[in-house]
Amino acid sequence: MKTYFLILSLFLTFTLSFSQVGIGVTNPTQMLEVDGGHIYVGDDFYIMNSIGSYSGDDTGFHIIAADPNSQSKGEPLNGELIEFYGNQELLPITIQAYEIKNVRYHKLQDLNLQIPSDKYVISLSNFEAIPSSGNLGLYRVSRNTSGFFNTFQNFTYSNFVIETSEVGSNWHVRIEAPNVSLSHNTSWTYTYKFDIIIFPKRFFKNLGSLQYNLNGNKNGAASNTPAGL
Amino acid sequence: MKISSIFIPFVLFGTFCFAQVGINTETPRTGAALDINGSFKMEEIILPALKDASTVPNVHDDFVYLIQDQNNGQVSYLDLSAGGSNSGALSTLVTFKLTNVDGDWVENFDTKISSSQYALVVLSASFDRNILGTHPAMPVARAKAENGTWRLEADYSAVSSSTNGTWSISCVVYPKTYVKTLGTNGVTTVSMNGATTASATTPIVN
Repeated sequence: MKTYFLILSLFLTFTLSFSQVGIGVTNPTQMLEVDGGHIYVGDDFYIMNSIGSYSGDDTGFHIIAADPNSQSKGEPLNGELIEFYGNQELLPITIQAYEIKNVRYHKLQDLNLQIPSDKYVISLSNFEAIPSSGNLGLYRVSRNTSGFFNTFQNFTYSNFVIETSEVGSNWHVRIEAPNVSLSHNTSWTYTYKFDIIIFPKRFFKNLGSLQYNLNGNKNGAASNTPAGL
Repeated sequence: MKISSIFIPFVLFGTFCFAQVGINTETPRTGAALDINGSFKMEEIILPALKDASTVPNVHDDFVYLIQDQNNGQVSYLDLSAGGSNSGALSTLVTFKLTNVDGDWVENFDTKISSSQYALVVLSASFDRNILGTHPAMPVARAKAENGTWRLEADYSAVSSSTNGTWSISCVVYPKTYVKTLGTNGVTTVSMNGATTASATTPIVN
């Protein structure tokens, strides 16, 4: 009777404690070893911080991700773990090389990349400008013509702008010397090469443009670390 | 007496084997060896060879990374669309728009972003007005770590604008928890010996 009561109380509290448990494994080598089936966790999932840090090289690990729409044997599973390798399309950063040919003079005033800005942040890097034959490639606006020596100096050159911006719902690129007139040498062209790096907004933050006034000084400081970092 | 003789071998070996186990559920799902209807905590997990991601369609809209909260060990999804715009991210993009600089010159702008926690790289930069000088010059913008924070510098060497202008400098900020920066204790120096081509002596990554 005493023994029955003991067993009954174990089942009532639904808590059992074992030293080693195998599910589908007869000789478990771990505290809990599961073979031949899935493990479902209905609620939160914790790994204690005593877990070791990875110390191998760059090629010895795969990132683990979850597929929220996954299914298993016809049942919705919502979160099957998968390893991120084997398909370049699935990686978090996409890099696309562009070659923009036959740009009039040097003015790429607006190029709609048709990359949706609600889903992605983009950046432009690895820029190269190749002038067509005869294109002097100097973004000279005017020169100071007063005085003999000044004919050879004190030119005004336009700044050169490389910019990505959200226009409507897409990312656009602008590359030009804005203050040089298009009427100059209209037969001259440029080829621009650059890489567009595409970051999904679900994993990458975009703090946008933060403005700071340096009050005419060459040195300055933000008042605080930008919010979000 | 009969009951205790059944229990003794289990106590001695301390090893149990089950086919299917449900915890807090009487009906483990199909295909489940173990179905835990609640939270799950463990010291270490060894995963099997998981499914290859190339089998997942439309993954750009579907997949989420797993991260571990270093405070309590909880494993969570990294999903900014759910977690809010200020929660942790793989990296951050930011444009510093520096107005009213000294002509065309920014010698040292302190972003106040920690150089021990983050790696900051300038992606592109542009200035907003004309430059005066005898010869044209390249716009230069770069980031440098000084006294624990990232600083920006930008200039057209040897020339300047007649009025104080604005630099727009776009940067990517990587957390050092997963981005490696080589040469933290100094830059890799290459002498070109007056020539126009050269090769690194040893690869910096294998």
